[in-house]
Amino acid sequence: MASLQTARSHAKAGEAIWAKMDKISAELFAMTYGAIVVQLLKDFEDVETVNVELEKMGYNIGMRLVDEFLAKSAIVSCHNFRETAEVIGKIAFKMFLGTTAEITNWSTDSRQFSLLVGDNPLIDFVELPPAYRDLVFCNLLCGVIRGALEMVQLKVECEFVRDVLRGDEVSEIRVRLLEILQEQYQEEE
Amino acid sequence: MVFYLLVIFNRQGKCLFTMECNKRRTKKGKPEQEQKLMFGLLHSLKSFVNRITPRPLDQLESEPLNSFVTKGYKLHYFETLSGLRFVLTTDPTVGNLQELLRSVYALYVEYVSKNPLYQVGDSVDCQLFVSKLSEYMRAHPNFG
Repeated sequence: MASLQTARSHAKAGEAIWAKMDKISAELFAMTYGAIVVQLLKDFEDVETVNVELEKMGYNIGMRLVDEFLAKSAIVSCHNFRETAEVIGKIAFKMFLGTTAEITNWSTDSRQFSLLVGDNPLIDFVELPPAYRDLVFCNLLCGVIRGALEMVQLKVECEFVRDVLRGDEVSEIRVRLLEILQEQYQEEE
Repeated sequence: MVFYLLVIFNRQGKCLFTMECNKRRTKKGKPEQEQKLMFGLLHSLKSFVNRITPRPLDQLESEPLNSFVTKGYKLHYFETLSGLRFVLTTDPTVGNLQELLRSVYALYVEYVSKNPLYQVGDSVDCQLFVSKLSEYMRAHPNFG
């Protein structure tokens, strides 16, 4: 019951922040992202490398995006990983992508979950040709999640396990918690 | 009612930014040393606060450490979940400045972390941030 309530309040918080965010045209956003992916494909000529590169770019974005998220949402520290997942899906996704992601498929130890991304503005105009069948078009998102969580001391691993662009019914990002980092500070003598 | 010094640290204790708001006492020692001492003190103070607290702190909404006052100055402290620490020293009579430090964080987001040429973890050298920040601080009623 309590968790249902917090889930609702997260959704509400997401809506409220979304209303305050500056907006850009979805087409411009989708086309810009598309152009980046296409350029990477030209530059690296290898789909696997592009997947890795997108993830890295996302990681660097996530590391700085987290501060915007924290400053604008004024959120307080999450008590557990389940709450963190809700905050990502309901507030962060809403805030930056204008859509929410559903949290499901928790592992029994509560260290793995899936984000089901319904309405993804990045893929509005995308169809993967057979040559790029293995391209994880939105792999940038995985990097963003990893980078942002690392800044709040959660080391995770993130990947698309299902992708509508590759014929699945829904896009699913799997997030695995590897380690909760401890604050390290060595006092000098 | 005056502001003295604003310092921003990251989680690793690196000093990212300092700004002197008003001329202070004559300097004793190097600023790097002072920053190191300050970070060390805050780090120890935080763990001290956590250790002696009668109720568990993660249940509380607000941060365990907001400020401390001495005869000569008051130190205001705000820590983000991403590990940034905003520290401002002022005259001891100044009230609660959490809101101000949050606004400084908002400015940091706008003019530092959104600057694509700024590398996370580097010292802040963004002219726009400095000018917006001093504009904001000067406009504050406590600036004097």
